[in-house]
Amino acid sequence: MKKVLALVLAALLVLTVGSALAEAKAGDGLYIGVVYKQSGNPYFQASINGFQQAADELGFTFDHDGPDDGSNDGQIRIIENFINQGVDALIISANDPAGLVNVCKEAMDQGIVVVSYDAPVAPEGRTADVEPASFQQVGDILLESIAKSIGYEGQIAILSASATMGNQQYWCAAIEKSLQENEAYANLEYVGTVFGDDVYDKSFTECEALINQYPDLKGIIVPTTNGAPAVAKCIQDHGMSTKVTGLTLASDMKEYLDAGICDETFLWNPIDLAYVASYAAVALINGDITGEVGDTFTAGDKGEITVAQGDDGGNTIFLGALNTFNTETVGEWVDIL
Amino acid sequence: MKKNKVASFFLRWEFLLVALLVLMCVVFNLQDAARVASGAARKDVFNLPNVMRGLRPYMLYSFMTMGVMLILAMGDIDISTGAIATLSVVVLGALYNLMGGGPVALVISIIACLATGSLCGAINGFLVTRFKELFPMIITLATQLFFRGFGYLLIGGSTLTFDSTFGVLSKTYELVDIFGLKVPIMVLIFLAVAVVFYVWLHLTSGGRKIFAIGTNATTARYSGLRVDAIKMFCFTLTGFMCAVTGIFFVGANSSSIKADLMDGYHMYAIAAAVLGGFSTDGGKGSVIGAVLSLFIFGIVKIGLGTLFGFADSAVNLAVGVILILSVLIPNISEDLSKYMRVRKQRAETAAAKAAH
Repeated sequence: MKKVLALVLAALLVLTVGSALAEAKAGDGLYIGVVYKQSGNPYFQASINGFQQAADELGFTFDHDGPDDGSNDGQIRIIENFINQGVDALIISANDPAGLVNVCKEAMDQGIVVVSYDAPVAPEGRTADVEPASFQQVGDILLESIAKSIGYEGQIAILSASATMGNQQYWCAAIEKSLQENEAYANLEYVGTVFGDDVYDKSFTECEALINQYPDLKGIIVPTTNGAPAVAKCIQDHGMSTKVTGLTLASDMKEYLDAGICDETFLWNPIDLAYVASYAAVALINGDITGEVGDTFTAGDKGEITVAQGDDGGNTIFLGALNTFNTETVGEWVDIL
Repeated sequence: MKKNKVASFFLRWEFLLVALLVLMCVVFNLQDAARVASGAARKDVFNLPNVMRGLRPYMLYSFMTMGVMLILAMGDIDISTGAIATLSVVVLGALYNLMGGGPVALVISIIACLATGSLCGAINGFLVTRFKELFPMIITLATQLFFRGFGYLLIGGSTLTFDSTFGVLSKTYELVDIFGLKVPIMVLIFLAVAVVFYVWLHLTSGGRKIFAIGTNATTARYSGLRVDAIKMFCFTLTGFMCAVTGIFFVGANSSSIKADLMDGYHMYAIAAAVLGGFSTDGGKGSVIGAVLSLFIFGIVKIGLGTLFGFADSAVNLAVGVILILSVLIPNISEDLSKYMRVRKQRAETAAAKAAH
């Protein structure tokens, strides 16, 4: 009997701690579940501001969560929870485009709108996808930037995250395509791609190996946010004149932009992405659009946006251009990204 | 006398687990009703269909738990189970694509997957029985790293994707209608497997041999048990069950395979077995307890996640709390009953003295 009592008391203790943490949600209005790649990632912390802004304007409530290990099965658990809570829409940044298809299909069967943003869920598992720019656009912007920095001549390389990460492999493919097809880059010699796993230390080591192998390397494109500061630091430490560009956080790169190692770096605005994804989700829930290619909706202060054919063949909503960070603009973004 | 005591202890332990399960459901239902009443939620969340759907991600490691529990009963431990499951599905996927796909390739690669798991388990078993001076913990730590590394060696950092035939595996994640309630196929299969394990472990002499080894391996050997052969068999069977877990995992993961899956699953499996009454000292435990524990962990995680706003990475704290309590409570209650006994004796002695 004592055992049972002790157990009851202990369980109640745990649960009262829990209820203190539970938040109240508005009873009416739409309720949206946001699933990002990994908890604690500053990039996704920033995107929460975009969801909040849209929520204030449109009057929906939302909860957000991501697995601590950035795993696909963690995202499945979170999505199952959101489905059970009866969300009207899921807004997901997927760790693995194919891995969420089953669970997202189940959600759609229950009438839940599935919008992916930043990193798409495969077309059969989503209603629509929101992306900053097409892979080709991103690749072209990065390539043009590095080419301009080094005078359209010399050896260049790419330091990517991993060969399998959806966006990474397509950006690299886009860069390679433009290098072959565009006459303007005829004098650029592409020496290859190395992978830093989006980890600072690994990227630093890979960069050292790269510049040891190609001492005349003129430019490195780094489309990974944790890789870019590592590469810039590596170039700085070795006192080389190699130029670096890539997709980076402003706060990471300010000192290297100021030091002239980078002329400009880029990133989309996660706040805008989240904002537009929210407007798209609400338009889809309300039936204003169905998510077909050619559908047009108004995304708050971002104006009218048309659903286009995406890089993966599914329906995608492109935001347009990238944010450019240079010595003039980086200051405004340092505290945000 | 001794045997009766052991039996009654487990009866009571399983009763406690059922009580905990019921208590959790009551608390979650109250919270659910409170949320609806206060307008914090539009509808109730903690109902049977939702729990059934939501259980699936937490039942994936149930199959490997059946193996881990054998190993704990023998007084050994295996922390390479998640790695074995991962390597098995890597072999499954790589072989399937190598053979160009199709139903025949699927059957062959599933057999290869199960064989890989069994082989990995056999390697563990061989090392544990051959190098008795090494702790099984260290041996399986080493093989865990080896198996994970080997998976990367086979497919690198790539994500394997497959044709539509392979998508049949997704069926393992689906729900099936039973008298109007949608129940996960996975849970039904698991319960059938658990019945087999229950009969074997608790109702046959083969199962009792395993507990005998865990109670005292030396005595067991002198009693004529082929201890090494039995250990070898149990480790191999565990490897096989890991491969089974892997196949269900692939179904859940929409047929997407990488070399870094199922991280931490070995810990969930050990946690469920330990709460089920299996201890690392060996010699005790109950299949029913382990099955109940799997449901307890699943339901507490669902409840904390959906009703109490816990983040996915925070719900594991419940596993920790329940596990510590499961170890502490029997100890405390034993201390308490000893104390009561001593006090009663003292009182009797004092009363006897006073009577004189």
